[in-house]
Amino acid sequence: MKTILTLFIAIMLSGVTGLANFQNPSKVPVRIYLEHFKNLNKHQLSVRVLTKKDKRYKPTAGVTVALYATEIAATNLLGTVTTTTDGTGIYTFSKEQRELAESIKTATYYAVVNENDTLKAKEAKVTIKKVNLNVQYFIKDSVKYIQAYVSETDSAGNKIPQKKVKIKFLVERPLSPLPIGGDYNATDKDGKASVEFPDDLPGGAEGYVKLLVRIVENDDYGTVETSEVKKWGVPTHYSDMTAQRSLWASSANVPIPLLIAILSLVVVVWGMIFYMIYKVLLIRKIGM
Amino acid sequence: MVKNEHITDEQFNQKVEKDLLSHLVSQKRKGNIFVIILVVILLIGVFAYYRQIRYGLIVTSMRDYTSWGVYISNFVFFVAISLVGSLISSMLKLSKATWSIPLTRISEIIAIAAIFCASIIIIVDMGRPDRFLNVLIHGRIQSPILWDVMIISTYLVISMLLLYISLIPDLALCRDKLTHVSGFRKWFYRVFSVNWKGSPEQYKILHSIITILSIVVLPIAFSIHTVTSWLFSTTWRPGWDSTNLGPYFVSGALMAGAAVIVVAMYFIRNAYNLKEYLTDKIFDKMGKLLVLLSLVYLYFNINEYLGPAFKMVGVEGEHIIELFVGKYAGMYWAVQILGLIMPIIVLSFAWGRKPFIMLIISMLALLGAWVKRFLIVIPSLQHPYLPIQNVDESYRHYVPSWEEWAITFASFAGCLLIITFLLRILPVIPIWEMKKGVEPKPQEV
Repeated sequence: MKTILTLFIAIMLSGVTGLANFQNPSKVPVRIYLEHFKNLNKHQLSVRVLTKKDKRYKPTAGVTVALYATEIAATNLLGTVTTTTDGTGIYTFSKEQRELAESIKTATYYAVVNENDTLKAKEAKVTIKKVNLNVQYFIKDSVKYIQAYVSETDSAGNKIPQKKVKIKFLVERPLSPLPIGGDYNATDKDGKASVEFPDDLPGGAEGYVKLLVRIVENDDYGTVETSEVKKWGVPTHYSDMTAQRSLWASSANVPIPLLIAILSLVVVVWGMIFYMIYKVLLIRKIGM
Repeated sequence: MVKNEHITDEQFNQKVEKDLLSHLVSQKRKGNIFVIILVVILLIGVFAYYRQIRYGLIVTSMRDYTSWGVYISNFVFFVAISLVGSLISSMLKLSKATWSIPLTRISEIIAIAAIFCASIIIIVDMGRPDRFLNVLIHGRIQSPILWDVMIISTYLVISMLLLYISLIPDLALCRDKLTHVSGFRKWFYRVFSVNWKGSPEQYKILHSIITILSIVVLPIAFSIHTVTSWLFSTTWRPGWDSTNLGPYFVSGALMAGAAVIVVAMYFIRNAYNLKEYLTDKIFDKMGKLLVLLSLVYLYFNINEYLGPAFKMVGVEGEHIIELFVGKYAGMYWAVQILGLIMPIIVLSFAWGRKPFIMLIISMLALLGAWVKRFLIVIPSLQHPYLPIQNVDESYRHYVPSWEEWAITFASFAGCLLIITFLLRILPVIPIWEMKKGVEPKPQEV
């Protein structure tokens, strides 16, 4: 009897599951990754959406994600983003939303993909604590230093240093920033971390470099960044090679000797061709 | 043809005229079937090209790695073949090799057909042929591509002049003797014979033009193949990054040129019954010339491969391995042995310089020359110094699509059609240079 009952329950369960699959055979599961980014000018929420295809989760374009603050409610909707070809979407807070976010000590954000014809519903959340990232730039014994100080503010307004927070010190450059002082530097018990700035890094024409200090993908704080432009690099003058007369320049900057050589050859050879055509006409004239 | 002591100059000249004009008045049925086959191949190629224009270069197998496929191999081959004109009409003429006189017109016709097809095939290789003029309008004069466009158009014009100038007395002969041909041909002979009467002044001008042309065509012919080699050597790829590439290309072209003239000579001699003019002795001389040119090409081949094979540096080494023992080894060694070593060995013996054996050997050399251009272009492109990360595996291989093959065969058919058309309206051997005592003596001039 017990075996028959177990078998009956198993058949019923599999039947229900099968029916559910039959009703919704094409809807695929979704994964969402939500991150918070903050720097001097902006607050952003970054989402990455993956959907299951061929037994693997792959980045998916064109998925609309709704973003909420505090709780999922229509009144708390920050906005929506649609993912691009790499499955990501970035939402930048408006001025009012940024001011509001700055005033909250601990903020929770939600990313929601609503169920539609092809996707199953999914949500993700991230909780961010307010953090102070102060950076000092100073020169001591001709050595340039960058010192980051990470703290939280308590209810009495005191700054509490935070230890073991991983910090990245970077110099802005094309494509991706250059890390200095190692890949990761963590704050000590005083909430401080510092690196030396190398004295041989090339800067702009006057030696300006943009220095970035970043708490990266921290569980409590998300990504927080601050930056400052300093005249600490080696002044570097880049010559635009394509603007000079050279073999690799544009057609307007052809080397003069090459131009003369080619034009001379063309004139000489085609001059001979026309001379010979003239001679043929002379043969014709003689025969008339 | 050697003049018999028992006949007068006049009798000899009459025979020469009769023999060398006969193919212009009676066309054989076999020839028409040959033309129909060529036209069919050409039309299939035109259809394939229509598909390429309609759907884009995606119908070819060319991708990001092999961006120069069989079209460019074919282009380089045609450029090589075109060097035959200067080999016979300039080099041999200037070196007073009178035995080569019957070959001059054939070589000039082949040169024009080859260079014309080379020009066409390079436009076919362009995804957007309507933008060809942009090469001239917006091209960089520093680029070897622009030099190639300039030199090819110049060489085409000079080759046409070279053919035309030496034709004038023969066109006049056709004008006077061929009275039962079509109206078009009558008009053609009349207009292009430019009132030729064979006066001493006309001969004087004619000779001066031919001498100038023979000299001018030589640097142009060398330049056309050298500049084509620069298209490769100025591009940073394994196998192309070589200072040897210019003479390597020129020597290979001269060898291919000699081989193509042997093949053409054989078929023309049989089709037009010209055994008295395209004699076994000429075959023998061409055989010796082909051995010499093959030896020169072998020398540059050794230079081209020995250095990189000794060092085996990085991607250059991978390229050499692929040629020597890899996926292209079969083609590579077939080309070197059948297309280069065998002609040297066989043609070094007197029995090997008989017409039929020379035909087989020259066809092998020609086939080898075409495959060699394929081996110069394709394997190098599949080993870039800066490879694409996670590149699609298909990019590493190249097998031409049917459209590419159809267009390639159509280009050969087109080349043969041009040659056939010109052979049908022009005397195939310079009659005025074969005749005796017709030209005024120097003191008359």
